[in-house]
Amino acid sequence: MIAALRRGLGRRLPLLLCAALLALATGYPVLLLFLQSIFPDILGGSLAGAFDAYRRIIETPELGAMIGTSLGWAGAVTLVSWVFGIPCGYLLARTNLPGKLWARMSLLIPIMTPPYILALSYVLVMQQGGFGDVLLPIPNGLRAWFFSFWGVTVVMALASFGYVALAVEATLSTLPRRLEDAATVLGASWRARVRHVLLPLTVPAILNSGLLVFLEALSNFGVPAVLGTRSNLPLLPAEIFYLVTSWPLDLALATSLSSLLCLLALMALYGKRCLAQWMAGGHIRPGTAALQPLSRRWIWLGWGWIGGLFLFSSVLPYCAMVLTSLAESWGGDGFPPLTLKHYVALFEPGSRSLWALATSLGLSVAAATLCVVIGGYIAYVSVRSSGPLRHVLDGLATLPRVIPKIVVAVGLILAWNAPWIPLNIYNTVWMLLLAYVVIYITDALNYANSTVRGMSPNLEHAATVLGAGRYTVFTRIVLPGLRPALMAAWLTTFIVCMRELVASVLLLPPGVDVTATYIFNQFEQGDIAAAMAMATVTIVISTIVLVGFQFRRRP
Amino acid sequence: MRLAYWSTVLGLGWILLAGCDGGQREDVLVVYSAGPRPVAEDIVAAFSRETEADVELFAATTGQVMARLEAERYRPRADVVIFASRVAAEALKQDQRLLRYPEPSWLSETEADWHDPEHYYFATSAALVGMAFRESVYDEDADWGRFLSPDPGLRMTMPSPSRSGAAGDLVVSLVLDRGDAIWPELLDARGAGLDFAAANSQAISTTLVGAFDGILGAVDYLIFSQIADGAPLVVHYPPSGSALVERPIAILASTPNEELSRRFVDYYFCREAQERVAAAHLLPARPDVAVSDIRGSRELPELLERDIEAALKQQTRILRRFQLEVERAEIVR
Repeated sequence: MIAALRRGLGRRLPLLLCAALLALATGYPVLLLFLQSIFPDILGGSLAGAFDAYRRIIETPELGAMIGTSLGWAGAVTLVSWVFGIPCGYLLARTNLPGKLWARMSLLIPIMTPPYILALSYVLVMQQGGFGDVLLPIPNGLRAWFFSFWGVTVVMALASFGYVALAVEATLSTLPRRLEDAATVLGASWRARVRHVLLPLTVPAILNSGLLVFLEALSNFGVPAVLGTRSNLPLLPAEIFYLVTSWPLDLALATSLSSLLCLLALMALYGKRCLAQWMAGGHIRPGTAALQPLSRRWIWLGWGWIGGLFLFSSVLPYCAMVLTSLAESWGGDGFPPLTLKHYVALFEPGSRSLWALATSLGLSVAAATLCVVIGGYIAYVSVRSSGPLRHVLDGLATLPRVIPKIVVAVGLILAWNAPWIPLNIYNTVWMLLLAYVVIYITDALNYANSTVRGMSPNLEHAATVLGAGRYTVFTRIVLPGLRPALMAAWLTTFIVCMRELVASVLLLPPGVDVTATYIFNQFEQGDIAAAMAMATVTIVISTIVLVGFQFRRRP
Repeated sequence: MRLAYWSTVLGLGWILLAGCDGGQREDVLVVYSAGPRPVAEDIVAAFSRETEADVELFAATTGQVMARLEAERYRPRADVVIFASRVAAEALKQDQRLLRYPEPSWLSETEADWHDPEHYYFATSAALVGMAFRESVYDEDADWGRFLSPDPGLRMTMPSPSRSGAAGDLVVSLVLDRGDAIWPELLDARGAGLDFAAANSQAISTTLVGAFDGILGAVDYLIFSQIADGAPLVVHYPPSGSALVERPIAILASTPNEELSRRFVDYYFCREAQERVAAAHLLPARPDVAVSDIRGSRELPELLERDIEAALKQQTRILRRFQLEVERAEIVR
């Protein structure tokens, strides 16, 4: 009896271990956050003042308005991203536009650029006495428009329309031409074809990418913190940040606003599911799409559209960034003389900037490796097992993907700073490593999950029959099979960790910087040249790693 | 294989534990300091040279220091804190989170009015919060009233009171001084283009590049140090009054190193440390230490009325209201 129980437990041990790990890493902080938002003093062991913070949210009209602004802004960003991205996707998938490879590259660059760097660069271009004013005077009306709701919306949309374009392209290029041909034969005009055939079939892709953009906009911290505060546009993530980091501090309000933000994100996810089910146009067999020939005029227009977006999403901000990092001094008349002194200062041995760079590199490598190893193992365990525990595991693992990063970070502060934690992990760099792993493990999981599903378990069974242990099976059979997927996951995680801002800014111990916080702080302190030099170096490093991997994959 | 597995796990665990030194330790003094980082760094370095004690320093703004203390409420870590605001120190004192230092030996040699009468905190130095202008637009008679109107004639910026302790003290002083009538005036000023910078340094740098004509709530020693570097700025103390902002030092009640903490506090008031403070253009707590050449004299200008008790009681409300109604106000321009 006991032996049977032990055997059962032994069989379930990996699954239980994974579930416990995820529950501790993700479930516990999020749960504590919800509890703290309801009982402000729960960490002190008291249940006094229940729902006090929520009452204050209801009673303060400014807070309600801010929540509305946040939702409206995220919605506006999604709409503008659709407007920017859907034509690009159509041009790439369905027309004979020349130079598609370049067009695709031009979409990838803004996706790779961290939104806060885009926002900082735009501040440099648009502020009074900024870049734009040195090269050509910017009319005040344009400036006022830029530092307002729609200006901030457009910047965020420029950072995210690439997702929409690529998702729409992927869907449209696998839609077979048969349905359209049928419609044409039956006499439908181009407009009717788009309305009744193409649009319904691409709706899931449009909605999916739109949801991605909406969630990113709703929870993005960098753009609201950089541009929102300069444009009198109060947005939730930045406000939560100020409530947690500046005086008068209000943890109860911060956690309750975080909980609301989380709820809004979940509602968006659920709403999208309902909408997609209601609108989805049935199943289709994938095929190759025929291309629509474009007239010369339309080619010009198409390239004008893509090129214009590239100009505003990449060329202009990158030029501003690099030129600022090279400019001798700032704010004089005319074009400033160029110098490399900011880069020399950046790499000065023992300087804060060099430490920040080293910390970022170390943390990103460690976090990417941990994510890949743990994520790969969890994916393997979860795919190869069954039962209700598996669903719990899947749910826990996808939690950080839906929940805004700032909420996870605030939850982590509470969770690891609680009086009952025996380890002193809060206030150390390890806290940040933990945060990176918790936030980004879903990417590794997703990559590994799809690969494990495609792998036959026969080899593993054979090894087990021949007497190999669990550890041997995983390291000798499963890991090599997962390698390509895990390499891709490692690369993605490394790059996103190198630029991670919000968790870093909330969780870093005293006196430690990573590149993102260095850029953010130097900009706030007014040393924009140093900030932009660091931004350039970070992006160059990410690009080198990316290109290096591409070359290694194709020997 | 099994052995390799367990040794990896143990190794990782050990690294994790070794890396965690976040707790309070008896041989390390942890200092959280607001205000000029170089001064704090120099004094800490000199102190650890003299006493051979390990000191960890977290230098940030008053707001960040307070936020950190609040986040660590149930797991305190700091031993000594230095603020750029008396109200902040008073808040901690009322919360019974400070340790009393009854009779320090240097007490009579320093400015007695600046210290807490019950000796929970002591002002290491002070600064004045007034205005600063670019030389070219300087107006000697400028007063608060002009900039709290819809037509100030100049484009002004102000460090955000939630980031700069000094600006926070000024806003609280102004509100207490002028009463609730000030709120519409503040909104007028906002509508006329008053902008809020993230912190003092941002306010200064944007003014230097010409985006603004001047700074409301400028902390004088920061402007003096810019002037020392040749910046074309002028410090201005408005006729109706400036705010005196002390920079109190205090020992936290949770400290396990009372002895070392007291020695650090003592060190802050010794002649050497005070000279370092004066070199940063602050007003040193010791009257016998000369102020910097650019500051010129110890003479105080007209000061705004101040009531620490009332300020403490109302400051959260005032600052939150300021943040929501003025700073984040949607202005149609």
